[in-house]
Amino acid sequence: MGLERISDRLIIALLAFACLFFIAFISFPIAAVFLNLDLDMLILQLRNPQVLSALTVSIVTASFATLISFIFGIPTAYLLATRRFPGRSIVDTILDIPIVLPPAVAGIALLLAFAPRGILGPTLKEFGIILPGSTIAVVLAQIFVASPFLIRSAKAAFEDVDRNLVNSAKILSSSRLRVFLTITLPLSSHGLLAGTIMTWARSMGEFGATLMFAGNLPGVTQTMPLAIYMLMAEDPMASNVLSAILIVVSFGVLALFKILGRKRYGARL
Amino acid sequence: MIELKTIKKRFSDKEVLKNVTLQVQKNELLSIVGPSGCGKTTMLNIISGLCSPDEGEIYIDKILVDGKKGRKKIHVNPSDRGIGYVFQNYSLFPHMRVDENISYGLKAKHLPRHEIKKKINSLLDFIALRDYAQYYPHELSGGQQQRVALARALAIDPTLLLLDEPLSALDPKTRESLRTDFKNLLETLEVTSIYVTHDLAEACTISDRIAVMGEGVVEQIGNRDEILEKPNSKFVANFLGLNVYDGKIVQAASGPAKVKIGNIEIFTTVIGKGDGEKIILTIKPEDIILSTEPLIRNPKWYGCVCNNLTGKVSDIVKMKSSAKVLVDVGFPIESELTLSSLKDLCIDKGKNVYVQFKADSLNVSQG
Repeated sequence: MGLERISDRLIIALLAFACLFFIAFISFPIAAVFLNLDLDMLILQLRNPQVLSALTVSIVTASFATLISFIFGIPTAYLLATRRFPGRSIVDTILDIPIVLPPAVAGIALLLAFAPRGILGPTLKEFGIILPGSTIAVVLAQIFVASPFLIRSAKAAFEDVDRNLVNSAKILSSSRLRVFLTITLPLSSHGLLAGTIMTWARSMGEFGATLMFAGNLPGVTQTMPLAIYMLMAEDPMASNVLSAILIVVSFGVLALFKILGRKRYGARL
Repeated sequence: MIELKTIKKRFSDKEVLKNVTLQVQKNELLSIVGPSGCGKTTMLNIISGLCSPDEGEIYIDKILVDGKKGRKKIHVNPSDRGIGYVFQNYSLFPHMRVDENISYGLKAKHLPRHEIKKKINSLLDFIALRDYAQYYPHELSGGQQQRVALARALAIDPTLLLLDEPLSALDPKTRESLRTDFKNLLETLEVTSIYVTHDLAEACTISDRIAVMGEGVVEQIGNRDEILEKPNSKFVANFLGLNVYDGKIVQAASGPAKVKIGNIEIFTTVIGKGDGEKIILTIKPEDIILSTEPLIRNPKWYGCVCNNLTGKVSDIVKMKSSAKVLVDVGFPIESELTLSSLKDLCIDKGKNVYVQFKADSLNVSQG
């Protein structure tokens, strides 16, 4: 009995140690960013045109990438969640590829597909569209890398909706759109919102594919992560400030994600 | 009137419904009972239009809603069949209040607002939940949620009401009390209803007729007494919890006939059967009397032919107020006693007992 109690305590101690190790490993570097931060420098850097333009490019492109991902991602996720068709698992796998693909490979792939010497490049050029070096390229890189997060999350949310609830609504209402808007959508809204937030956050942090495909032009394609990378050499403090801003944004997004994940339906005010 | 003609349905390898033919008369309440996985819910889903049969036809008030009309395949949408469906586990919309749940079907019909309001109020009165209109489903008890589900199904004035194990998610005590409530509510409605349950007692309490389903087929359909007294197959008898035996007529007679079960001969009343004919015998556990003393003929059974056997108690299963005693008399026979009888008679596992039952307690069907 005593031996059992000792081994129980030992297991708990080992588990706690593993947990503490990871907490320290993750929070120490994050804390380091803030510990090196000078408040005067922070205020100064927030007025720095390069910092402000990188922040603007990041927020604008990430928001567009999220919007486009939402418009195309939600119907895709709904189709995958509610219909069985030949090749469904293949489609599912293809849509997941960007999650496991190294961002540099994503950048090369986008270049080979859309750059002037790529497969679609000459056709796009005929219409006067040259993607690399444009803000659109940043958005495309972000969609490529981040949209699977939205599709996965939305698909799981749609799959979680109780089929009997949808069937109850189908019996009472002939309009599929009404059933979708009044039952499926509200019941999956937390998952959709969480997926949207994750997609936005992933777009904000996108680096490799953007650098390879869109380039690093201040005010055009230079996003926050690219600016951090560039400023590392010439102005480490500015780079530190940008990092701190991104951490605050990421932490805010994560907090929102957790709060939305906790919310339940039918709370009476 | 609802009519199902030779309905077949297959899900990948499994044939879930095999040639189901069924009629439900206007304003009748038919219960469908059967074990889990026998196709009861699939049948309701097919009637409601939530899934299509592979073969067969369905008529609601003589209108074809599923099947073939000439070369044309007909499948009327679930919402156009005039059906109210009460799902298992309530299936109330969790993000809508009680009144919003009830009015969901009415809003789809674009009824005027004052008419919807009037209908909601009358249904809330009907289910005795007038004060709960603004509550969310999770704020109601299981029984209250089930009544709201019924009100939502009734709001559209359905031609047919489908109820899929509506009380199964409730605790036994609430289920017992709601069973009577539900029966009274359904009786006042005058709507054709199909009530699916795996609980025979529930089916007996609530319905006009009972259909027993097994492995995708309707094994027997009839009123309560027909099902309980004259099960027509081994499956139905087993489902009812009866003793079921394969027997052979040794000596047919105008009165009691001699029948052999294994090597044991017993008396039963058979009509129109010949010597050597194979039969199925069933007997209710509660019709079998046990005693540790030699049994004297029950005075009430005067004039009846009785079977007197002896055997050893092989098992006793105690329940809430009764016990099932399994006795080996050359074949296994199960008797049901009250717990107090079991105690008074001093019956224990391994003890030798005397077994008695009337010849006419045995139900005989074709083997």
